[in-house]
Amino acid sequence: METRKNILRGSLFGALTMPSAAFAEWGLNMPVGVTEISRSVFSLHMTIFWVCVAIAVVVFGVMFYSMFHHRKSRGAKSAHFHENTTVEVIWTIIPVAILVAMAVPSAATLIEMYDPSDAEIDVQITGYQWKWKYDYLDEEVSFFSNLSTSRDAIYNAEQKGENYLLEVDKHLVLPVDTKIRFLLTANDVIHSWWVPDLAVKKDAIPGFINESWTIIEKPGIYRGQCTELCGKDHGYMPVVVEAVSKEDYAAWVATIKAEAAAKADLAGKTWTLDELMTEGEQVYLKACAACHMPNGEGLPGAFPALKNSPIAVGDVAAHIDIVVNGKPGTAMQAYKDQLSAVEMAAVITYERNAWGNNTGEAVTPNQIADMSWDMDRLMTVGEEVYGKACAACHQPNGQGIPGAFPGLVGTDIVMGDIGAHIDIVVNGKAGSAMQAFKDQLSPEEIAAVVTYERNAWGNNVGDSVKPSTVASWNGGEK
Amino acid sequence: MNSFFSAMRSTLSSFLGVQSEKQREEDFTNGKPIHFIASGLILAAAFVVVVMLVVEGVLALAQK
Ligand code: HEC
Ligand code: HEC
Ligand SMILES: [Cu+2]
Repeated sequence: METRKNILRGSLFGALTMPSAAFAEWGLNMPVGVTEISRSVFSLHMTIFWVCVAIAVVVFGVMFYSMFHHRKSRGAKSAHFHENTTVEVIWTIIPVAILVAMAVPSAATLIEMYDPSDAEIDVQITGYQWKWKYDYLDEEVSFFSNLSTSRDAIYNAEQKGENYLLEVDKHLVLPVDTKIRFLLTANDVIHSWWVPDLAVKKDAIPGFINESWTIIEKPGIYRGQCTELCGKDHGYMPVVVEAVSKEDYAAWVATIKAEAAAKADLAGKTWTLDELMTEGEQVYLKACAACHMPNGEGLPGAFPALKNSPIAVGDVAAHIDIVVNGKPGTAMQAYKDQLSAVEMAAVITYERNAWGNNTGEAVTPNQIADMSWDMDRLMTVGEEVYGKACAACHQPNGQGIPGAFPGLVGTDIVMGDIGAHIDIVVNGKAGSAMQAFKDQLSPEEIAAVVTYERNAWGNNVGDSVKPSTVASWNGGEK
Repeated sequence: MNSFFSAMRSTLSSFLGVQSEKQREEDFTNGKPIHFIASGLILAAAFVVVVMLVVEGVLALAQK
């Protein structure tokens, strides 16, 4: 009871004073924010709030005074006049004057808000059902930002965390003290991108580009939401902005680019035999020559020769297997965690063609990647991806929502031609809510989720998809 | 002609939303519909022009 009273007293006090800690704690007022614009928006809001309070005091004051002073018990008689043009003109002119007086400072702020010129960084923001995509136009960095609150927390099977429904897997990282221009659009329906601390709130409309900008003054995490009702999971597409120092931002861009390049190497690039041989020789000398010797002849009695060895000139799968997984109980280790897929492909190709082995066979990084995706791993990862990317529409049990999102149990596509199944997930279905997932999920994730759908919920088709099939789906085009 | 200016006056008052009883009676005894339509169109156009000028003026001020 005592706390109740305190909260009540606190909120009254909070509501009546200028920005104080109470606002932040109880969220009674809008935040002051961390940009010049957000501060002027806040002070406009407070100015207008006090203007409203003053008007209310005057209007209700006159009203209550009149009611009290001219009450019936004192013998007051109501007047029966119909019009008084002078009074009407006065009560029209005064509000107009007040509105104009308020428009002057508002216009100044609005004009500033609408001036995105001289921005140093351009970020395109695209709304999807139900996630945001961020493209850093100057950096060629691009990613999707998905809700990261677990379904268990949403359905009360798990404790809800501090940032329940306001947390995402990838933050929009931005440098402080830099003018950033946002270009907003949407892929399907109208969304709206809102971060209160930046005082940025802008509709994202399919076919249109809206502009907005910000200069963040303080490093920190700023959370927001979609504020345009956009369908079933409208409440599940939060925005998280992470403002960092300029140096940290440069470092972040470098890391994310390196990651993307590493991925592109694996998925997009077609390696020639020569390239693999050159790369392979280096890997061999670094990682293998200590035991198998630079000339591939090994150390008899300890390390086998690879020159003319049954595995190195024989079955490719066995060769890949011993390098990827090693041979337990011997000095031959598993290299899957030590070398990248590209390095493993290169060194295996090298071993199959050096020292007179001359099989002429090239092993691609994709073959290596596929090796590590057996049915179990595809199903496990597939279930995860499904929960994250598909269950919102098709439902966790694959039953869909009749009339809106089809069920995936026993349907023609899911039970039938695997090509059609891969295609609808990779390329989506134009004109429907089924998006193209090729830019949102990796080939591994798509292979996993398609395999999962074909074998979950009693579908039991029994087949599976390899990541390399997905990677080369549209002729290798992204 | 007199009736036209009277219609103009009434249309202006309607922009403000205030009208005297005397003028209302005048409108309904001597007013011609065509005068109200014409003054409505003219004043609406004038209003648009005024709003545009104000916006231009404000933006010009802000450029400085
Ligand atoms: C620490 C020493 C050591 C290193 C380093 C090493 N290997 Fe081995 N490797 C072995 C031993 C020991 C065997 C034999 C295992 C067995 O069958 O008992 C072997 C077997 C193999 C075989 C099978 C040969 C055959 O025909 O039976 C291949 C292929 C192979 N290694 C490739 C590689 C590659 C590629 C690298 C570098 C990435 C590498 N090894 C690094 C010790 C090593
Ligand atoms: C925003 C809602 C939405 C999301 C998210 C979504 N889908 Fe769909 N999906 C649809 C709709 C709508 C269709 C029906 C398209 C049509 O045929 O008009 C569909 C159709 C399909 C079909 C074809 C079903 C059939 O047999 O006709 C498959 C397979 C499919 N989706 C897989 C997936 C996978 C895999 C994911 C996650 C990676 C996913 N969907 C995410 C809305 C969605
Ligand atoms: Cu939305």
